[in-house]
Amino acid sequence: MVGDLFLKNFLKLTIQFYSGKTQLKIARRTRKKVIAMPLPVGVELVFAAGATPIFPCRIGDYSSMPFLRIARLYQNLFGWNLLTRGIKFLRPFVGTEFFSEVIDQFLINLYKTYEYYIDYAENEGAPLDACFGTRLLLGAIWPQLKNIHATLGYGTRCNWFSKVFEEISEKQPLVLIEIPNVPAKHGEEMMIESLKIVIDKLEKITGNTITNESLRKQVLIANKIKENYLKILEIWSKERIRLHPLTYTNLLSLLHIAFTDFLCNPKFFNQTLQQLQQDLQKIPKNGGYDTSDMPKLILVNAFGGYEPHLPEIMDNLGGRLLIADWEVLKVLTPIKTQGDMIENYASALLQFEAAWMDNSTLVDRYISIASKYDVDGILFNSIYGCKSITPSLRLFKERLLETDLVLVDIGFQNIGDNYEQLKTRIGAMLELIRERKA
Amino acid sequence: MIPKINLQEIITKLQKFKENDDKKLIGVFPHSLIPDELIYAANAIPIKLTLGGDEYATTKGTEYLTQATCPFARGTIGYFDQANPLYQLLDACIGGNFCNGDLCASEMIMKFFNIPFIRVTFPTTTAPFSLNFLKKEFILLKEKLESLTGNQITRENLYTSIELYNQIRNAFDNINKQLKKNNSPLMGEDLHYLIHRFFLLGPDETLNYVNQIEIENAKQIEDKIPVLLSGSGIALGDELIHLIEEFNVRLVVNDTWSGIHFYHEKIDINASKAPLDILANHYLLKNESSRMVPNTRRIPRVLNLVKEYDVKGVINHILKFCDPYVADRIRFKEALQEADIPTLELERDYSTSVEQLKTRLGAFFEMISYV
Ligand code: SF4
Ligand code: SF4
Repeated sequence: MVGDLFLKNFLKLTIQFYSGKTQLKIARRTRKKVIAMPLPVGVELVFAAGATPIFPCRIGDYSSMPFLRIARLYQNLFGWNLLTRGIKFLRPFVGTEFFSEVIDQFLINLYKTYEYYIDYAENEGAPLDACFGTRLLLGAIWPQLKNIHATLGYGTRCNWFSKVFEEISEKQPLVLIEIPNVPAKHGEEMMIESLKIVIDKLEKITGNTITNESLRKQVLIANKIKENYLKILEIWSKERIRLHPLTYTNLLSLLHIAFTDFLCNPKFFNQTLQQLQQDLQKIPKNGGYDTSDMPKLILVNAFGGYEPHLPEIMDNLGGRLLIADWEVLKVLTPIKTQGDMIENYASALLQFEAAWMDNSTLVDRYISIASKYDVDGILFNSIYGCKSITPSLRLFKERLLETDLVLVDIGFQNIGDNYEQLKTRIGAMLELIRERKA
Repeated sequence: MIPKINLQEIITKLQKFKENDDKKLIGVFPHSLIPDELIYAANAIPIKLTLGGDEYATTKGTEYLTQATCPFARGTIGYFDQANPLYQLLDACIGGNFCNGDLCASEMIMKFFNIPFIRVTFPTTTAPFSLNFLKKEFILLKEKLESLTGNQITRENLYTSIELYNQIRNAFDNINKQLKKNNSPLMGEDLHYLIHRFFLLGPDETLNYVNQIEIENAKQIEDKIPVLLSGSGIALGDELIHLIEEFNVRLVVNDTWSGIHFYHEKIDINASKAPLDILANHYLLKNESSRMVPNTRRIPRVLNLVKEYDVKGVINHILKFCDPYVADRIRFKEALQEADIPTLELERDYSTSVEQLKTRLGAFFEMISYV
């Protein structure tokens, strides 16, 4: 059974996750500008500009979800602080299973809403052959144009991704952060100049000034969030964990997405993450889960979208799944807080780009994180339509010859497309790992 | 009137350049990103990696990249994999981040085919900081070329090179303008072979060749429907232009990297500016491709060319998974619709059957023949 304290924090994140609409209302009421955030890159800048960053997929209408209705009602009546008591109170009525379901079905429920965005994008002319992630982005942003003041876009190594922002800019202001994939002096110079223009644009949109101090303040809290996030990843890799492995994977899935906009409130996000990680460290005697004989796989990659049943499939087959893209891409690396914050921030952005400046580097990053967390294999998520990362498959295979890691290639185009095939392929891989370990 | 390219003849010539003139042959991704002028100034010959259209090579390339990489980039890898004799001659390659096809194929060539590789990074935008950045990338490219060839690139020989390339641009532009005449003896396919010849042999050979062409005395070809093709480039070995002109059609403008993108704009030579600045200005600010964000040049250019060449219909050619042009599709379609220009969106890969292409092209040409 999931502990109440964990449940409380998980629910807090989930409720906040699905409260995009409410957060927009608050932003409107407090006259804050709303900036759509496709990635967690640049989120500190948006907060420093006094704007509300929002991951556009969170703006849908989720009011009919039964658990949300109950949880919100309770939250409105008693507030966050009494949520634990509320859970205790509600358990006899809704049943213990109800809460586990809420957690374990998080991803599946979420992706159900994604289907709407994908359809929307396709109906509005987004290319059918485009990767899932960019179809999703277009489908989530286009219907929200009147609610969003600008989108933060990226000029990165994936030209397709950059072009998608051009598409968005046709209908809405775009603040494009150009990040050169050259970790050299002239790359740094360009990054700083590019950042100054981004800051200038954000200031114009919001009417606020981003000072060295306001950016430092946001980076300080973001660094704490990153530290807590990293601790949660670290705890995942332990043999004995407090949570059911499936629930843990679902937590990682939630964090992976929730981190994109710090759920509009860094202070809240940080506190919740801190409580979560502290809670996860406390394994009661005779409690917790022994995962020592469960093979561990890392998902490569998650940020382009993946089959939402993956955690469940892995669990049914007796395996565990790690989702650690943000660490791989160095987005969880703390940013320097002394001195000139534009320079510090620029160097963090360059680090992010350098982590995937080419596919060989990206492969190295995934393998190094796999070994950090003692992972047994790679679940290679060949995203259909991805012309940038999916082609790294061959490089992965070559590189793995030098390691003990095994790899299984799973395709992904649309939700639920190849459920049975996934089970067979992952099952075979887990068998192989078990044989090797035996 | 311009003969098809005989690859064996090209290979023999290149071998001679290598052996007799001690020239290095540098493979370059064919999109308009890498300044050939710089390579030439290092006493090397830029050889565009322009082979394509071959389904077998494309399939081979899929062993390295994936189905979702454009067929051109996959094919390029396939030719390396098959030890194509032309690509075997290369002393080094230069590639960059024009698009994902270029980025990923470059990396694979570097990794698997044991050939020195120089990477050039191009910015996404045309902001002033992008220009400064590109200048520095070109400085690095210059240094790498110097060390690769053992030749110094001086200010003088770089100016000379830029001037020579401008002459070639003029020559191509003049030839292209001949296609405006209703009775021009030239067809789009002639220009296609001419430019690929240049892509493979470099400027010296091309100038000699162009100067010998006698257009005036050639047999006139009358009453063809003038058509413009824009979008993904047509590789050497891709028969699309031939197919188009099998109808009663003349491809008067090839608005791709395998056409006017190279010669539409001359380089502004300003003696008071450093030649590398001149190159960076040209390649960034006059880049005719659709990769830049935002891409502001394509639509006005096409609309002007349609007027200039009295074009009756436009083919928007999209190779499957070609990022810059897939992304441009709606914008392009709407702009041309608004200007009342009949447009055929032709998305394909090298496995699309000739019959299917002919049916679509035929229907479009029939429709515009009544306009
Ligand atoms: S990296 Fe791949 S998944 Fe991501 S935007 Fe580019 S093409 Fe899409
Ligand atoms: S421009 Fe298009 S055809 Fe050329 S390599 Fe890039 S994606 Fe492929």
